[in-house]
Amino acid sequence: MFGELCVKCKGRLWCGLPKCPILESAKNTIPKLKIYSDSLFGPSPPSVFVGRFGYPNVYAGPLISENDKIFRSTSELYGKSLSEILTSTSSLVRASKRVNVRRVDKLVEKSQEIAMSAKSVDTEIWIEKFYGGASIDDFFHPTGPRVEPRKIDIVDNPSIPKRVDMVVEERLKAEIAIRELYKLGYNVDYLQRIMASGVLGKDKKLVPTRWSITAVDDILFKGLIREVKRFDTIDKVEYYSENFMGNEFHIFLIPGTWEYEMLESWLKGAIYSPEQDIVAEDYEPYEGRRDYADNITGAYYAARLAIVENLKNRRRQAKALVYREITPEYKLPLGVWVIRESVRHALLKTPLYFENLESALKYAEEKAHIKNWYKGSKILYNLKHQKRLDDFIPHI
Amino acid sequence: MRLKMDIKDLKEITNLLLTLVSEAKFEVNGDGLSVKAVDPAHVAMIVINVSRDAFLEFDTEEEELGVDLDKVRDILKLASSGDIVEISKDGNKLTFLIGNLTRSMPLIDTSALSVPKVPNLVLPAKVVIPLKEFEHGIKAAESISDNITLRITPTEFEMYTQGDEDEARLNIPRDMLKDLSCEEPVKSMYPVDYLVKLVKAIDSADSVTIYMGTDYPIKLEFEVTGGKGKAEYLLAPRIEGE
Repeated sequence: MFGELCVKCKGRLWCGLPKCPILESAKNTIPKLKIYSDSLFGPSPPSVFVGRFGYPNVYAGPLISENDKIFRSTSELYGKSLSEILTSTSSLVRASKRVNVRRVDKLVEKSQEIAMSAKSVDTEIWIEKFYGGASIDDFFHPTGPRVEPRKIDIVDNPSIPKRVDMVVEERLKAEIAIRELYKLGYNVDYLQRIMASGVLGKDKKLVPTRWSITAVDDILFKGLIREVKRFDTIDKVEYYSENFMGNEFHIFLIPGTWEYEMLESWLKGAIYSPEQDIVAEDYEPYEGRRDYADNITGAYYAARLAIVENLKNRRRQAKALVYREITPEYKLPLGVWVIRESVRHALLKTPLYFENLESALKYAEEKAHIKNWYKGSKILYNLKHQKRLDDFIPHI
Repeated sequence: MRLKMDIKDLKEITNLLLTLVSEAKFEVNGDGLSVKAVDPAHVAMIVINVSRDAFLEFDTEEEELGVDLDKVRDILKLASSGDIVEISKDGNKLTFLIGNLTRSMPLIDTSALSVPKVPNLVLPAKVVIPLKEFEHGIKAAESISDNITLRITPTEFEMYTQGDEDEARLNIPRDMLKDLSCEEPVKSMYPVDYLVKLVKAIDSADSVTIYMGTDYPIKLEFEVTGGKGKAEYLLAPRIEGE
């Protein structure tokens, strides 16, 4: 198609075509769900989806499962096979209507109640129009067909936790609310969907799902890194690896003050990269970054959160270098949860220890498809070339 | 403790420190105020000494103040350029008074703030260069590479940077410099982002004095608080090659 552009864009239509040809052909591999009746009764896992096209007038509404194979969070999908994942996700019917992000109509109100619920919510929708198809996205998990609802009824009572109700009523700033609920044990998926549903903050509005996923990863990271920067550094290079759905991760934690870098290789034949191997990179120094990580996008933020969670729990500081190789086995983008969960799982393992980064890289290179993938790494460059002032203080 | 100063001076000191740290330990005594800070990666360091003459009022015992600079930045946003700020310490609280506005903050435990060791460097070459020219050299390099190379020879001062395809170079001959002393040519490469932030924060100086060696830290000296204070900035080099 468009070579390197496709890897950077990942379905954002930078090519100017009305639909992404790569995603369209990938969609054909998802089982097609048909609904023949004019109503649908089923549980919402709970889940909502807010589109981004046409912003501020976007498609929004809840997802309702057509079978009972619901999952409460994407972490439950980790380790499952592709067909199991698709059975759970592509049976989620997207009930949505176009709505302005600031307008709270009946559909939005119901979506908000569903989003805030801690348990699945039995829901009934009367279908105005069935659109069919499926939806895949680099950020959110796949979903089934879209329907335009005439009416939505929540059959159950959604169980909305008191604390959540309070932060919504108090109009607590979204960042503060998200960090507080996270500390109380609410997971990233939950926080992401309440943010998308537009219940958080002073100036409440719907937030496209894609944006809310990265926003939550970023907000949680920023809260945790403040603490991590006060911890002592690790003292040996640690190497972790993990492999899920054709995504091969090589993770290096390196002694020193916080810095973060992620590199990705899209191997020839992987999604977005049919014709050639493509390497992408994003980096941030100790103080953080101001602009969006445009080369790696959402995966950058998802991996970074998983890293900082690990450092926070161990009360240690380090530099982190994440390398992800996307093999042709990854045919269908499943969402950035794949990256977040893979890195979390990798870091649960016992690492291999190395005296320096170069020997760890040499070891990992044997297992990677692309040789010398790290030659553009800023962290490696700095370690090799940047002196510290202490190097010029004579030791007694 | 009670200090009164121009808001512009407080702003300059704060901005310079914020290029490296978000918290700092200030020391005040009969002579004035001094502060040292090193960035978390130990790549750059700044030492600022401000004479008591820079203050409109300077009434203090010897004190150590651990200050959250992000909070000071927030206060500075509330002031306008001609304002005077009065800073006083009461127990563990630091209070800023600007016009009718009072803003206080808790002091940070100074034992948690490390005071850097200042390396004693022998730097054989020296130039004095107008700040404007120095700024030009850095800005030209910024968009090309992460690195900038500085060179002093007996006849000129040079700043240059090399990207994959692009290149920028600033040469100033000896007779256009206020001062140049150099016997053997010296050359070192530095991370440009540090220098970009530094020149943005320098406010009252119109020239900088540069001390250098080969593959050695650079020392930049410049005036602060309208000439009544002095800052010294050290930056570790990047070494080329494998």
